[in-house]
Amino acid sequence: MLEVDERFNTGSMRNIYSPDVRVAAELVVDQLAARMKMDPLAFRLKFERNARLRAVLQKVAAAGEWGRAMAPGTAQGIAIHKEYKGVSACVVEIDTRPATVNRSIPNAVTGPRVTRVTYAIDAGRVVNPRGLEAQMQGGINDGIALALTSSLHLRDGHFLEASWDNYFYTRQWNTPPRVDVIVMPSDSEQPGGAGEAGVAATFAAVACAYARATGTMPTSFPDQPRHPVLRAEAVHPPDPAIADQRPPARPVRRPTHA
Amino acid sequence: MPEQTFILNGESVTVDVEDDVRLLWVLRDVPGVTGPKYGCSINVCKACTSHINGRAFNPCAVPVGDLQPGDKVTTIEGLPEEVPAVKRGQNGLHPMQEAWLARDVPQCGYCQPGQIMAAVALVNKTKREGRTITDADLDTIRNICRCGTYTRIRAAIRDGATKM
Repeated sequence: MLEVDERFNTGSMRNIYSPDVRVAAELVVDQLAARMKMDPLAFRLKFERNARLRAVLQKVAAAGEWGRAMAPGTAQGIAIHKEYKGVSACVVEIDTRPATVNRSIPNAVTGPRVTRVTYAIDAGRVVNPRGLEAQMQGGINDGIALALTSSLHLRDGHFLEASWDNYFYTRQWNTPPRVDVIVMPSDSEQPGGAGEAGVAATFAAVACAYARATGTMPTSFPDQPRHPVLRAEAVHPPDPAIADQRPPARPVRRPTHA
Repeated sequence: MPEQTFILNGESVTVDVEDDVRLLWVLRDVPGVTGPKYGCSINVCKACTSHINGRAFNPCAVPVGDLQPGDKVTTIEGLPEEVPAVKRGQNGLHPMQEAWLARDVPQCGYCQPGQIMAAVALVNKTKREGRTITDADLDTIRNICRCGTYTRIRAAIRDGATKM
């Protein structure tokens, strides 16, 4: 089984498809909670059966001040993830007000700003808590990038993005001024993973916060109508004559990670 | 080949390199000063950030022929000597480098020399303006960190600024 079209070169993707799956799931969970007139945290605590997940949810909700009053155009979002023998939960706050979204920085993608992230992880036995915290901080920035700025666009067999000038990973003007990571105590003998464990819950919490702040149900990310690459493409639409000239399939077949 | 003379980390250097060669390649390949890292060569990622006459600049975007003989180029290797010995920390390094170590900022480390050089230039700028560093100042840093160490970078810059 192949995960990707191998007619183009591929690289590493932090947390692979888990962030996409978590976003879809958590946006739907928020919709279910809303239909049942329940708070997103209360809904998750009521129906989540995994005790470790309920513990990180309660911890992150308290530390992240879940439910505090937020101004119109700003909102909190909450999400969970379970992978790599660990569990995590994330509360974010996002600002989608026009003054923030439309702030101008030369040659930069601005848009909504995640202003605060609180992240709780139970990774089992922790050998290096500062290292674990660092991996969560990095994963948080990846999750924010997936939700708000970074993407690749495959057109006519090649990618529109070429370098850091048009592939928009999180930058200082996108990163949250406040990030708190909580490493949960554990009596487990088994160490869990860290390197990719911070991405999925963050991406999902940002998506849920964005949905609540804007009153929309986003169905694709990054939600960036001003994305410079897409703007350029609108000026220079794909040439259908080129579409037939895609490179041939490569014969090499590699095993997937799973 | 034309001779290029400038001051590199406090010492005058003369190299035989064509005028249009970017300074980053000269620094790395001739005297072998490899603190400034190659990331993009289009002045976007800022991994090569160094100082010229005390201001941040990106040697990937500057032809060596544009340098004047009196221009002072400082890379991360020469940063500790930019402050008096009494201001250097327990490792003999610049206060910003010491703050980086204390906060355990680097992950892969590749962008970090440029991050530190950008941080020092930014703090010096706010000091010239008679201000302490703010979140808005930190938001102006353009250096990319693909590990996402931005949170500890912000904390380390605030720490380092108090000792500069």
